[in-house]
Amino acid sequence: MKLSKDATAVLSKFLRQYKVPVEDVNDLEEVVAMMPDDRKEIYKNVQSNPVGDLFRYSIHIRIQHLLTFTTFLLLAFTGLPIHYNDAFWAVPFNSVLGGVEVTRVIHRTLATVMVLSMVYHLMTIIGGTLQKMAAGKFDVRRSILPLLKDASDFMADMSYFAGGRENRPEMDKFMYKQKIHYFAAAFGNTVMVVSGSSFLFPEFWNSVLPAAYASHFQEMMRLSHPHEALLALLVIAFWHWYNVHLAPGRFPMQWTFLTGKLTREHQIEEHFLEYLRDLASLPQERQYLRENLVNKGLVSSTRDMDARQNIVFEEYRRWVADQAAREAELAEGEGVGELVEDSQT
Amino acid sequence: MMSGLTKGQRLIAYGSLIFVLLWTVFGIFAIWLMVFEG
Repeated sequence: MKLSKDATAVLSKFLRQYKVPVEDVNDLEEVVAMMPDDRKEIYKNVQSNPVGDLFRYSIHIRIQHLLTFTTFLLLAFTGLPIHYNDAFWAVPFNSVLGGVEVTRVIHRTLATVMVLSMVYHLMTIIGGTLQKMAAGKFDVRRSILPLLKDASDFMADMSYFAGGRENRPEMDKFMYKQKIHYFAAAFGNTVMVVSGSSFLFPEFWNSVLPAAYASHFQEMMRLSHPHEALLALLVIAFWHWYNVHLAPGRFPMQWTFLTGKLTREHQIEEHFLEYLRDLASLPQERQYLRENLVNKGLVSSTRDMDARQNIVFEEYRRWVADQAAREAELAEGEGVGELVEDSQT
Repeated sequence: MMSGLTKGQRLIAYGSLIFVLLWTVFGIFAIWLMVFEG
């Protein structure tokens, strides 16, 4: 495979940030050259463990997802009979729980857990990002932040689905669809927390808002809380659950939210740039892919030519040699300094 | 190409699928309520 501009940039940065050993890079160079240009040939012919092959989400993210979805479902389930508390079906539901006042207390308790989960999430992503930055291992392409590339990926993916392209675009750890979903959820959660808090703490909001707007704000919040909840329910039921339960390749369930791992097939198809990082960091993955390509007769016929064109590896080897030479020079300089110091004492 | 799930894993996966489908029915009920709220 001849690496694209995006793939070259991703690998170039990853190899330098993680200081991948040269022997591993030589191996990676060979495996990349063996890969056919048609990526469909790769992901349609790999063996995948349905519960996941390649690491994706930490235990923190999985706990946050678990807290968010359980509280979300229970909040929707208790919110509806609060909103329609005099409806014929809501009266017995609320009675079973001890009356609408008790349903409200349960709803608010669940909301508190959801807010705590949001705080936990913010701490994780901010702390994790700072930690990576301090270690010199942060790459914005690997983050959830929207980039211009997402817009071109979206156009290219639509073109693929319409039959205008041979392959899906090479996307990173988070593709355009996941970024939209993530920020929609962040926006929705914020609306729900702000509007919900306006019911619980009206005095606070009246004290911080100008008097002319305070009552309008309360009315707006009263309207937006149930409607945003319904919107969230629609997004979860008809978009998210389709993507993780019903979409081809995911049925009957995608296991990532439990195991934190993604299947190899899924990673190559939708997150090819992240798969290249997996190949760079996991010798066993390179070995698997190499054997699979050979056994299935999928080794690229332009292998040697591609290997010469993928200059990222040769550039990295030169960079490593330069770094080593610089370090040797520095060590030599320090050695001379020590000698001078020794001779002076 | 996927290899098969064990019996326990199938139970979790299909159980979860049935759960979300039932929830979708609840979602449709909520939409119906909101639409006909007036």
